[in-house]
Amino acid sequence: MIKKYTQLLIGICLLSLFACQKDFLDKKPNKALLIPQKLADFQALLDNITMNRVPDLQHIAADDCFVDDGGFSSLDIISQNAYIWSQDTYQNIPIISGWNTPYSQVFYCNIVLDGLEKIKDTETDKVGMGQIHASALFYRAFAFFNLLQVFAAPYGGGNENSLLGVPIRLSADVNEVVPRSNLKESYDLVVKDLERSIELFSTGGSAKSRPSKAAAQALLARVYLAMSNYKMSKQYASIVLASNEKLLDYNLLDSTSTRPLPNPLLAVNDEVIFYATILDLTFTGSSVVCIDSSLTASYGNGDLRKPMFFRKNGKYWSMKGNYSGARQYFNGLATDEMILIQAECLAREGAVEEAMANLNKLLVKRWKKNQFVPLTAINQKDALSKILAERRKELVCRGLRWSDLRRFNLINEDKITMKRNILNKEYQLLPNDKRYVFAIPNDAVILGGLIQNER
Amino acid sequence: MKNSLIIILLVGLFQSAIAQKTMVFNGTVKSATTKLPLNEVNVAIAGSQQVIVTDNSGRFSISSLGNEWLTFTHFGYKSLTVRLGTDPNMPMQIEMVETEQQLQEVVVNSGYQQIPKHRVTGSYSQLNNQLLTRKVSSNILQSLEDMVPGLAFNRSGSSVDRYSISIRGTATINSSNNPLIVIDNFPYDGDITSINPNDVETITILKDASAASIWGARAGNGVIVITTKKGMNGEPIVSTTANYTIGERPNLFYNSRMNSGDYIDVEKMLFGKGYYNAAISSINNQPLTPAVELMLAHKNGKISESEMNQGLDALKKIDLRNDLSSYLNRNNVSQQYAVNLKGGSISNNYFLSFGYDGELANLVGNENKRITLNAATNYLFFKNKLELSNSFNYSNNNGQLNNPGNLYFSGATELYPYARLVDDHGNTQNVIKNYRASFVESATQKKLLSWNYNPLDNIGLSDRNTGQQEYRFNTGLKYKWNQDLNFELRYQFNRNDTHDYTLNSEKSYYARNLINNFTQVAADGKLTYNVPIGGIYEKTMGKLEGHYARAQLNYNKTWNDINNITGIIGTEIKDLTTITNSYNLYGYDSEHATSRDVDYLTPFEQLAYPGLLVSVPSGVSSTELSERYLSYFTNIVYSYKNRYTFSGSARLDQSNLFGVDYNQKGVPLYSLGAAWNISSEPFFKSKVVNHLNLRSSFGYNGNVNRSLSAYTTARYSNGSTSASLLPFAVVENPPNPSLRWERVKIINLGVDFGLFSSRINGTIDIYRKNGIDLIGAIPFDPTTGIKTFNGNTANTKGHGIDLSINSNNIVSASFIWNTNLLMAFNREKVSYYGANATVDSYLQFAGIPKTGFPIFSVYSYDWAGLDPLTGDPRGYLDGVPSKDYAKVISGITPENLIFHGSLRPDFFGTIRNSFTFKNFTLSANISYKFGHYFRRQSIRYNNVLTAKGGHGDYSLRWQKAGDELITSVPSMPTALNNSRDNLYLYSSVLVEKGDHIRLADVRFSYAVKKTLLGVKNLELYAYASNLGIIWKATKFAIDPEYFNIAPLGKSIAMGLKLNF
Repeated sequence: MIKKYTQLLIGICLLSLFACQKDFLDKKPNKALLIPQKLADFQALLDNITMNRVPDLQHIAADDCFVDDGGFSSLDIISQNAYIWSQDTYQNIPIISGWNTPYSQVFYCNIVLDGLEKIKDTETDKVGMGQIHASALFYRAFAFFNLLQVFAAPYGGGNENSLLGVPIRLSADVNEVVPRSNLKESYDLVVKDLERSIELFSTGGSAKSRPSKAAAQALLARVYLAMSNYKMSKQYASIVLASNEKLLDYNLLDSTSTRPLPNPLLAVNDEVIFYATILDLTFTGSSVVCIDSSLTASYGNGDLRKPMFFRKNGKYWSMKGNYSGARQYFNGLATDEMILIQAECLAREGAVEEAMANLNKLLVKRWKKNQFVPLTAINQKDALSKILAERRKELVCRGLRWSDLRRFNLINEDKITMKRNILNKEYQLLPNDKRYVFAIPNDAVILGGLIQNER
Repeated sequence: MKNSLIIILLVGLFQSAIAQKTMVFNGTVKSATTKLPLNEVNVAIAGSQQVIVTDNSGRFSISSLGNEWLTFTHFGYKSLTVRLGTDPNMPMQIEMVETEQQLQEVVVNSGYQQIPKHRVTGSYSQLNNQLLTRKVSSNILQSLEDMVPGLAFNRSGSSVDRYSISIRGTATINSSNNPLIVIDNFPYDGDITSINPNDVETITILKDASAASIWGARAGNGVIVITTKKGMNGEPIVSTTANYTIGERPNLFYNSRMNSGDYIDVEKMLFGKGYYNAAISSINNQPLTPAVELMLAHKNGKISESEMNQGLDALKKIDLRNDLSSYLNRNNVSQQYAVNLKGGSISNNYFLSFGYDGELANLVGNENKRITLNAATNYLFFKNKLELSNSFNYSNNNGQLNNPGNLYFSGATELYPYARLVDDHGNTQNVIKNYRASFVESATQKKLLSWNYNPLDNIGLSDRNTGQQEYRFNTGLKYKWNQDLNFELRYQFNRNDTHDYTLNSEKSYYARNLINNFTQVAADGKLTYNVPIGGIYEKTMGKLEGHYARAQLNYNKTWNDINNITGIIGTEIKDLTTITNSYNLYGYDSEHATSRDVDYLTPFEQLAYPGLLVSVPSGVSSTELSERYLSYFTNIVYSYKNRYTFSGSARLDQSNLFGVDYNQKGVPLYSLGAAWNISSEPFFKSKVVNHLNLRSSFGYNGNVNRSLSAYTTARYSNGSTSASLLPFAVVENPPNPSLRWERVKIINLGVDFGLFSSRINGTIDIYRKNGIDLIGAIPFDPTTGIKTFNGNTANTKGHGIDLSINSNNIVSASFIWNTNLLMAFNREKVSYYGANATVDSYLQFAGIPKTGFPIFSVYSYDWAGLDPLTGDPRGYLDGVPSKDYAKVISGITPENLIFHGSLRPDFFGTIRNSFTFKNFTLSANISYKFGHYFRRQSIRYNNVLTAKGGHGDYSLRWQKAGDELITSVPSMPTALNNSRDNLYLYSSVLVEKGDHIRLADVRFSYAVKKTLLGVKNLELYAYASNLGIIWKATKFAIDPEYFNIAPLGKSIAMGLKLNF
């Protein structure tokens, strides 16, 4: 009798172990982990601040800043090589953020876009879904555009079908092999994605680190400008300005402060449409990096931008900061850039007066009250030259100069030869030099089978 | 059946009134099996130095007071202790049992069952308490070093006490390579430092599939089964042990470093080039070393050139390591005390123990204390049908970690070598840390807290206290149906509470620095404290809670006296939760345990870093991890005539892997084995070989990697560190739909032998160990968005031999010489790896091995010597020495990289000799490791040119033509050049052979057995370890085992063991 009971008891004990097994093994091994499948998950992926970083190589290689021998010696190797336009920029250093970061952004966007595809029929929050869809398209286009400025030839020479762009990865499948598209296909995709995102965005984003309809329109204006398509560029800049023309009045800011310009993420800065910064490696933060002397000399006496942007550093001037409100250099989208685009495009169309009027709208907020005299131009050339000079002064250290240099050199405008003098050696970069296109990192060439750029 | 019982005839039970008088007792010793007399048997009286030997007819006579304990030892026979009667007229008849029978009594504990050794088909090693406590250590795992063939301690880390244990090499790449540790039948998830070695009875190392596959998916790296002491049937015995260890402070000059003179010369050169302009003009008050301050003062005309040179010359004479050695290091001192009590009767027994360990570490300010308490009981009920066993273990570790460790200057640069911690008058000194000296001074004028950093005064001001309390409760209920069948239920509860508290008092540098940085100075000089003045208390608490339960049926039947079947079947469940929480308290008043509220949200401008906005670190974080397993297992052993044994085991493990389909959560694993005891065959007759047993096994073990998933996974973060302050997610894993569990296939052939009546006995195992579907990193084209991908991408193939021989070389009445030889050979290679990595990655061992080579391999660039004209390092370009670094390096492919050998030895072991003379025993362990390579460190000019100092090889650098004949250290370059540095640092000229022989330890002891004051035995011992290298292949002054960190200093321990 006892035997029977014991057997029963054992049976129950064993069964009880089996009974709970399904739920038992479904517990998450780490509560912080998630499999992105809900809108909130996708939003969290896109809110990773890495999505708001752009390459630094093009800023180092441009002519906004310079370093002396001592400053040069305190830079990291990649910055040094980028600065003197070496043929071998990376010297076998494996991690090249200028390439890896944008492609990591593309990967995140593709995870979100692939994920949205799966839930599109079941998700009830169509507005939220549209907003996230648009954001992912925006970030991806932003990443591709930034890559094209650094690792592909400039657009607008008429041979875009035969030049190489960058690999256009449209799926999160890491095993998919994607070769470099040609330059035209690459830019076409950027434009197409931005157009689609403008349709999908409902209204503005809640935080400046998140894109919005205006951000997509503003980016499209920037992209068309880089493609030398002034008509479309002006069109989108005008759309942005039509809905928001707000500018900071520099008269109301304290130029003696360490960072006079408000941080758009932590304070109010209505001029900023979308927040992004240049990758912050040794070059952007260094106190030995000074602003090109002829550029600092070009600011007029009542121009408040000089004390807002720069601080005196020995004989020269160094960057205090710009619209990031922090040490990092701003590369996001703001109203001032839109006004400058609009003015430049108008001038190129020949609408000199309208162009100058627009430019003055910006400058009046930049100059000391009562000292500002509106600029005028005698002809189209004069207008363009004044607008471009103001563009340079306004957008200093915004990471845009490199694209401008490539564009100006390509369209036979005022060709610019850049020169550096380091350790008694002179380096120069002639217009349209092959070194205006950076080499693709070794890992991508070897493991991804990509065609390398000639340098 | 030649099985015989131990028959002891003890005659002479009459108590004698005249016991104080010495009498002569006589007796005879015979073999229990053959009944033939045994000669040369040692007969010793406990506690006396008297040892006598039996004659050819097995007879002996001994003088004694009577009532004393006699110990009989004879090789090939089990030693025997019997109590002498009081009547000398009754001769003693002693029968000794042969060792072979004794061996049969040895059981192997797999953690699930105890199998008699002769029915084991697998490979294992076992260590008893005596061997485990031969060393003096507070860590049980350290007792295994140099004691088990094939078990290696791999040291190549940042700290001397950080090592990994590998059993029979490594058959995993990215997953855990730690062996599974089982304590008292259940996997142990706590911290092994909670276990007191004095509480351990035996350790069994399970090495092959047959031995370990019962542990299934966690057995791939081998299993270490620890069995703690339990009660026993008999009179109460109290055992105590106490010891005291002193260890030398580490030699800080072991790691070569650029001397102060060179350092200052480099600073001078960099100063001349304007390198420091960045720091000088920085708005962030970047620090300058005292030497650079002197140069700057001279440049600004504040001091004359001779004043500067005078100052620099004074600094050049200082070597910081002297002060570090004197004031931040010391000889370490450890104390260990343990006492236990055990006893009981047939129906119940008990065990109680208490232990205390205290250590003052080499680093001043660091100390550790441990208290352990254990209790175990065992009861039999219902005519011994029901057995209830309980044990409770408690351990409390408490440590102080107040040593600053490495001193840094400006972030991560090592402190300049001419810093002084104490001046000539013995006053502690400030050193430059994060800010310019002038800024630190100006802070005082602004009435801020002092911003000085004084490393010695700061000890104890940031009081870091770490500790853990562990409770383990283990209960088992076993019901015996009948002779053959029993059922057992076991349950263990394990809880481990850890804490890591740092109380930064108001005076600590940490608190002052943080408070100052968050202070706002108004134009009128008024100060606003965003972090209140007071202490900063950083608290981290962890809780680990584990439940383990098992139900198991055991069957053991012998029929017709020749067939035996032993089987178990059962199921097991594990649920482990780990929670950690941390937070900071500000304005902490330790007297009243009060703190003040702080605004954690608003970013404040940092005083020392103008324009930098930072929120007060809340320190808040929490994690919750869960590990669950559900397993089913069986093991069946059939044995025929105790000659032929067949075994089979199978196990299915399932776990709560994240994002894996239910049916993919499990892995079935199995093993098969057979053994043939040749020496018990009737036909086997050998005068030399008295024991011969062959074993063979085959099967699979597994290894779990719980970090991967079949789906894309991401990790949430609360966003407090993000510029936008928005919560965000980071992608952890790209999806991996074909994810599988790792498996390790092991084939083992073993021989156990005894020669000359087991005077020489040993075990040889030959094995193959292949890793299948191992998870590894695949370097990915960064264009995909990821740089590496982890998946089942590798297979490894390994083979090896484990050998252990025990030889009793000399056995005489007063002198015994015994030698233990352990030898292991292991060679493994990656037979397949799903991706090729870059040359750099192979050289720097970035975690990706190369197909056809060992997992841990040392490669190098071919070295073409220094350029005789410039001292530049050269490699080969198309077979010609070249210094076109870009081309040389891009011309090197993984195929033409030089392969030297494995980083880990492929031939290693120990020889331990023990000499016993009367009551004295001397034993020494000599360990050896051969067949491996390591890379010597040298100067990296990128660091020199960025003012970070560097290796002492700097002084050996090429400086003028001709130097290339006497040095291979390149000249100083004028500009940063990563490729030039790498070509040298990863060249063949820096690769050295690791072969060496070391005197691991020496132990000397004196043992007496006495009935004085109730003491049964007493042992006094001295133990010396880390005694140094006897021979090494490399001619450099580097210990190959510690090629990047100073080795442990010599240590000596004194102790005693007392039983009563």
